[in-house]
Amino acid sequence: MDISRRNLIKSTLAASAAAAAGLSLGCKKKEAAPTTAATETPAATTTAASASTVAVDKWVKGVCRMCGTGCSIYVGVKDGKMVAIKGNVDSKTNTKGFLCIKGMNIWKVAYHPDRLTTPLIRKNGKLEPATWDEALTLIETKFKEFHKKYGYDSVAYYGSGQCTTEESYTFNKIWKGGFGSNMMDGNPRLCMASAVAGYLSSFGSDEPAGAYEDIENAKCIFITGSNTSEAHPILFRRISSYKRQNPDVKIIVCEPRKTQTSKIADLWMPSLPGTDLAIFNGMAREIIKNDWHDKEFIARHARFTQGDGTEASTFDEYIKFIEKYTPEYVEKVTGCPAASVKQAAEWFAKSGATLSLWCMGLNQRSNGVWANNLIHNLHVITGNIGKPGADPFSLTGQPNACGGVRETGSLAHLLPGCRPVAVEPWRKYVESYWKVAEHSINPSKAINPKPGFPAVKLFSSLGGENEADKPVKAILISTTNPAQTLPNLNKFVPNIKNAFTVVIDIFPTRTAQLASVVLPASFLYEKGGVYGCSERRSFLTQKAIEPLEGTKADLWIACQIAKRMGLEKFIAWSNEEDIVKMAEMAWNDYIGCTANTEKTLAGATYKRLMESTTGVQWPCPSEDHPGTYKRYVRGMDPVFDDPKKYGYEIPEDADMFFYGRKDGKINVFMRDAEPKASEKISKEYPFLMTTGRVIEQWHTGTMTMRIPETAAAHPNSYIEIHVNDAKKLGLSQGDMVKVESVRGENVLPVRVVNMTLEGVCFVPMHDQKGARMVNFICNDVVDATSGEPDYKVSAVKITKVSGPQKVDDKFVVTKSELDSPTFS
Amino acid sequence: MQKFRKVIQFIFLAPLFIVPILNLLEIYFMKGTYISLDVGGLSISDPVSVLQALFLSHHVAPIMLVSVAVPALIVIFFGRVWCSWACPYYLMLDGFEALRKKLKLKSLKKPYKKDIHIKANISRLGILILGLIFVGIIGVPLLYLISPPSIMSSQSVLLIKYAYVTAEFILLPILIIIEFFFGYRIWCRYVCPTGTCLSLMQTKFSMHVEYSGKCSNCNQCIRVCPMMLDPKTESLSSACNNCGECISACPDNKKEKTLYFKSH
Amino acid sequence: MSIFDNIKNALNSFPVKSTYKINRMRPPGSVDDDLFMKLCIRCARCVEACPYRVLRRSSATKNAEIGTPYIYADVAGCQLCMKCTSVCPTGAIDSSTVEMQQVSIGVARINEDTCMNHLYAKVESGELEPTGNMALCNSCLNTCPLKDDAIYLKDGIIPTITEKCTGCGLCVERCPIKPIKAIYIIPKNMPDAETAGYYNYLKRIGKQ
Repeated sequence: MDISRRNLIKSTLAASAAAAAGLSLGCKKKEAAPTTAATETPAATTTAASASTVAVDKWVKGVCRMCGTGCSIYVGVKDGKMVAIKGNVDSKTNTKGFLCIKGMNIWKVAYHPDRLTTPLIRKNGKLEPATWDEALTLIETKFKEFHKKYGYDSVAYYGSGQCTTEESYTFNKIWKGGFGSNMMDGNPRLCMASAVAGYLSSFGSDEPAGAYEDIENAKCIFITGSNTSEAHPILFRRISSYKRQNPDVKIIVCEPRKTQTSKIADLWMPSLPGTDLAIFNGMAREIIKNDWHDKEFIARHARFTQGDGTEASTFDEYIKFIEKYTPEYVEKVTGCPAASVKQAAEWFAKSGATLSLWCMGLNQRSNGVWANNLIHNLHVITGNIGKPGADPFSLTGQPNACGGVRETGSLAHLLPGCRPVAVEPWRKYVESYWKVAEHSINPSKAINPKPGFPAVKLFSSLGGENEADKPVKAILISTTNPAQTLPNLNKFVPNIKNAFTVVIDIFPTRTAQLASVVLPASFLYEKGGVYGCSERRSFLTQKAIEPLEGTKADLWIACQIAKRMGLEKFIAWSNEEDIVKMAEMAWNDYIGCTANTEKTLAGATYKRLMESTTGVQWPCPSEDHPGTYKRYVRGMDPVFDDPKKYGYEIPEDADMFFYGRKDGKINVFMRDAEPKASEKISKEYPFLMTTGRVIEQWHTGTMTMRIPETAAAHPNSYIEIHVNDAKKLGLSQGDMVKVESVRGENVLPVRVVNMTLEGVCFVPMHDQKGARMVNFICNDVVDATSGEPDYKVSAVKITKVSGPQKVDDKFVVTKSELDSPTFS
Repeated sequence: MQKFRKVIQFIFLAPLFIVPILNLLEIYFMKGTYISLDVGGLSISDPVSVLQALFLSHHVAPIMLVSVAVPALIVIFFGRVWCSWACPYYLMLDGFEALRKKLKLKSLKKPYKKDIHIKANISRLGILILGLIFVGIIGVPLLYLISPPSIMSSQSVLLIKYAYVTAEFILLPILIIIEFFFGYRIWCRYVCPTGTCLSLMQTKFSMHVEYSGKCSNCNQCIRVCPMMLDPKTESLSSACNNCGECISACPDNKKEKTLYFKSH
Repeated sequence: MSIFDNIKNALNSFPVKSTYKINRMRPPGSVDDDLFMKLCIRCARCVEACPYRVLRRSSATKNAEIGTPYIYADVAGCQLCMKCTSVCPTGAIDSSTVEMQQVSIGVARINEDTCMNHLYAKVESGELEPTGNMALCNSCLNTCPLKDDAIYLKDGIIPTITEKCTGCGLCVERCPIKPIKAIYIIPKNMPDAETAGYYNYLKRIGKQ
C-alpha cells in the first residue's frame, strides 16, 4: 500500500508540472477572445475573473455586504444589469482590491428567480399577492389600532446591521421620535451588543480607537473568540501576509478550535467554551507579577473599579483580586496549558504594540461584556492603547452594524451618537434637533427615557392580541431573519407567528413564512446607501441598477409608513421621489444630528462620499478633514481640537485622554471569570456545542445558498466532533446524529476532526433546513448587561440516528413554501 | 404445481423493483442485481460472472467462492431450477407464450424433433466457451452484460435511482422483438451462458424428472415441454430445467406416479 | 507504411485492451485499474450501496468499461463513508479498506493558473498587477475530509496537496471555478496527467 502510493505520488508529481502547463494552455486557448480592460493578466482564466472581464458599460462603486470587513468593490453594469464584481484596488480595507468568494459572486443574488416581487398579505393562513397600497394600508390600520388599544410600545421595529445607515436612522427616528417608543432593536443585539457595552463601560464611548491599519503596525496580535479566517477572510489575509513578511510578529490565538486562524499563530491557546475569561485574568496576573506592566500608563489612564462597576478601587486591590488566577488554576479551569498563559502574557506585554481582535466568540456569551472588559484591562495595564498597532479592536459581524446601528443608535437603549437614551441632556438635544415636540404622534411629545426591550426580551414579549402577558403586538422586521437567528427558536417561533409581523426582505425566509405581511425589498445595489464597517469607516454604495420590478427600497417603505402614520413633516424626505435624493436627505439629517458628538461625520457629505474611493473614518468634523485613524490621541483625534464643541473637557496638557469618561481614564474592572449563566455539561448532556461561520456562507444563507458557487461549497451544515469522541460514540464520517439540548434537537451529519478540543463540537449556523437549524439547540440565556444571547456555549448530547445519508441539498425556503412553515 | 412455480417466479421478479426502492428509502438490507445479490449479508453471485472474473484476473478472492456456493449447491441438489423457477426473463417468455395464445397467434414452437436439443446444447456450450475465450482476449467481461436478467435488474436500479440507463439496455428490446415474433425461447435454448454454466454443475444425482417407464403414450409431456425435450427419455439432458410442466401435464399421473421429480 | 505494418502495429498495441484502461476514479479501496476491470463483475452493488449517490455506472459507449462503477468528481466527490467497500462480491473493491486514510482513489492536482488563491498570492507578492479580480476561497480545504493532512494552506493561502490525499474528489466537486475546475483528480496509476481523469476524457471527445 505504502510503496504503491509513493510511486503514485512520484509519477503524478512529475506529471503535474506538465499538467499545469498543458492545462492552462488549454484554458487560455479557450478564452482566447478576452474583451475588456482588466484582462491582460492570466487572471482572465478564473471564473470569477472571467465574469469581470465581461464587457461592462460602467463600474459602479459599492461595498460588499457579506461580512463586517467592509470590502469596497465595483459593480459591473451592462445594459442595466449587474454582470460582475471587482475589488476596489485603492481600498483601505481590502488592500489591492482583494475579495472573497462570497463578495465576488454577490451580484448573482439579485437575479435569483426566488426574489420576492410583490407584497404578500396573509389571508386565511395563506400569503396572497397584494398591491403596495393594500399592504401599506393594512400596516397603517393595524399599527394605528395597536397604538390606540395597547399603547405606543405595542408596535416594535426589529432592524439589521445590513440595512443602510439612512434606513436605520429613518426607522430609529420614526420609532423613537415619531412614536415616542423605544420598542425597537436590531440584530446587532445578537451580534455585538456586548462589544458596545464593553466599550461603553470601559471607555465611556463606543467603538474601537484604532483601525485595520493597526494590523500592519502591530508587533503582537492577540486573536480571541474569532475565526477570522472564515468570518473575515480578507482581514485574515491581511494579518497572515503581514505575518509572513514579518515573521517576528507574534500571533496568539485563543479559542477552542484549532481553526485556520490558529495555523498562522505562534501560540494556540485552547480554552473550553465559556472559560476564556480566566485566561485573560491569568495573563493579567502574569504581567503584573513579572513587572511587565506599564506603570506610567496605569497611573495616568487607569481607574480600577469593582466588578459590579459601582465603586472605585486601587491597583493593589486589583493585584489581590487577580492573585487567584495562577497559570495552574487557569489550566485547570480552561484546559489551556499554564506555560502558554505565561508565554502569551509575555508577548502581549513586551511586544511594544499589541493588537487584540475579537468577535462573536467573546460577544455572544452570557458574560460577553465582562470578557470584553477583561481584554480592555489587558490593554490598559500594558499601555497598549493609543500607539500605532496597539488597540483592543472588536470586529463586527455585519457590514453596517457599526455605521448603521451603533452610530445611529438604532437599538432599544440608544440614541444617535451611540449614547444611552436614559442620558437626559443628550435625549433633550435629540428631541430638539428632531423637533419631537412639534411632530410626535405620541401625546407625551417626547422621547421615552426608558429603554425598550432588547431582542430576546422583545421577541419573548411578542404575541397575538389574545395573549395578555405579551405586551408587544406587532413588529416590523427589516433585512433580517429572526425566525432562524434567535436562539432557542422553539420559544420564539409561535410568538412571531401570533403577532402581526411585517417582514421586509428580498427572498422568502423563515421569518417570511411566519409573517402577516411580506414586503419585497430592493437589493443593496438597486438602491445604494452608506455602510459603516468595523473600523469606523463609512463608505457609500452607489445605486448601480434600477430595482427589480415590483420591489421597493426599505427607505421608501419606511417613508411610506411614516407618511401614513402622520409623520410626513417629521421625516422630511418622505415626499421625495428619487431614492438617491431621499437617502441623501436622510444622511444629511443624520450627520447633522451627530455633528456635535465624537462620532461626527459632518465632513462626510454625500458629495464627498460619492467621490471618495476609500470612505471616511469618523470623527470627521469638516469636509477638509481626512478622517481619523486613531481616537483619543492629540494630533489625530479632532475632538482634541475643540473639546467644548463635543461637550468634553480635555486638559490642555493631555496627549492622550479618554474623554468618554469624565476623568479621562479607562475602567479596569475586577471581574470574575466564572461563567455564571452559561450552560454546563452534565451527565446527560456531556458535550459543549459551539457555533460559527464558514467562509462560503453568510448568516442564514438566504443569499449565499442561492449563489451556485457558494451553495455547492457548503451545501448543508454538519457537526464537527473530535476523533476521540467519535470513537467513544462509535461514529464515523457522515453518520447522521441527533444533537440534542434541553431546548431542542437537530439531525446532522458528522465530520470527524482533530482540530477541536475533546468534548467540544461545532456546528455552522447557515443551514435553513428545519432539522439542521442549530438555533433550536442554542441557549437563550442573555448577558445581563448587553442582552446578547449565548450562542457559543450549549450542553448537548449526541446519539447516532443512522448511517450516512445524502443531505447536501442546498436547502432554501422557496416561495411555494411560504404558506407551510414546517421547520423540518 | 405450475401455480406454485408462477408464484415463485413472481417473487423473484420482485427484487427488480424492491431493491432500487429500498435503496431510495436508504435501506440497504437487500442490494445488488441478478448478477450478484446480497440479502442481509448473504452473497449470491452469478457463476458465469465469477468465472469470467477468475478467468480474466487470475485472482481468487475468498468472497468469490463464497458467493457462488449458494447457486452451486442449489444446482447440485435441485438441478437448474434458477431458469424456470426464478429467472425474470423466463417469466417474460412464459408471458409472451400466453399473450400469443390470447392474441390467437400461432405458437412459434416447432414440432418435436429428436435431436434438436442436442444442437441447442452444443450451441449454448459453444457460446459459453467461445465467449470465455473472447472475453479472455479482449479483457472485458462481456458475457453477463448480454444476459437479459442482469440487464433488467441493473437498468432498473439505474432508472429508479438515477433516472438514466446505460447502453446495454438496447439489447433488451431487440431480444424482446426476436423472442416475440421470430423464435421460440431462442435465448434460453441456444445462447444463455448463465443457464449453461449452471447446467454444467448438474449431475444425474441432482433432482430431475423421472419416468416410471409405463404410460399411455399420449405425448402430452413432449408437447408442453418448453425446452422441446422428450421428458420421458431426455430428462437428464442439460437442457432440462426442472420446470415440471410435463409432470403437471401428464394425464397418467392422476392414476399412478408416471412422471415425477426424483432426487437422490 | 505498408498494410502489414499497420496490422502488425494494431495487433501489437492491441486496441481494445489498451483503450479500456480508462482514466476513471474508482470507488474507494478499488484494486489497481487493470485488475479492477477484470475483477469487477458489474453487479452494481456498490452503486446501490452508495448513500450519497456518488458512484455511477458507466455505459457501454465508453471504452468497453460497460457497467463499472466510477466517480465523476466534477459533479460529486466520494464522501469516504466506506459503505461500498464491504459489498463487492469479487474483491474488486478491497473490503479491508475501512478507514478513509487507507483510500487512494487518486491524487488531487491544482491548476495554479486558475486557482483563485494561487492568483491571489501572486498579486499579493507583486507577481501580478492587482486588478480587483482576486478572490479568496478556501473551499477545497474546508471540504477535505482529511483537512490539514491531505491539504494545507502554504503560507496560509496556497492550497497544497500532500501525499496523504485520498483522491476523493470532494474538492473538485466544490471548487467554485467553472466550467473547468481549478482542481482535478489524477486517478491512481494514471501515467500522465494530460490523459488522466474523466475530465480530460470529456475534453478529448470535445464535450467540454
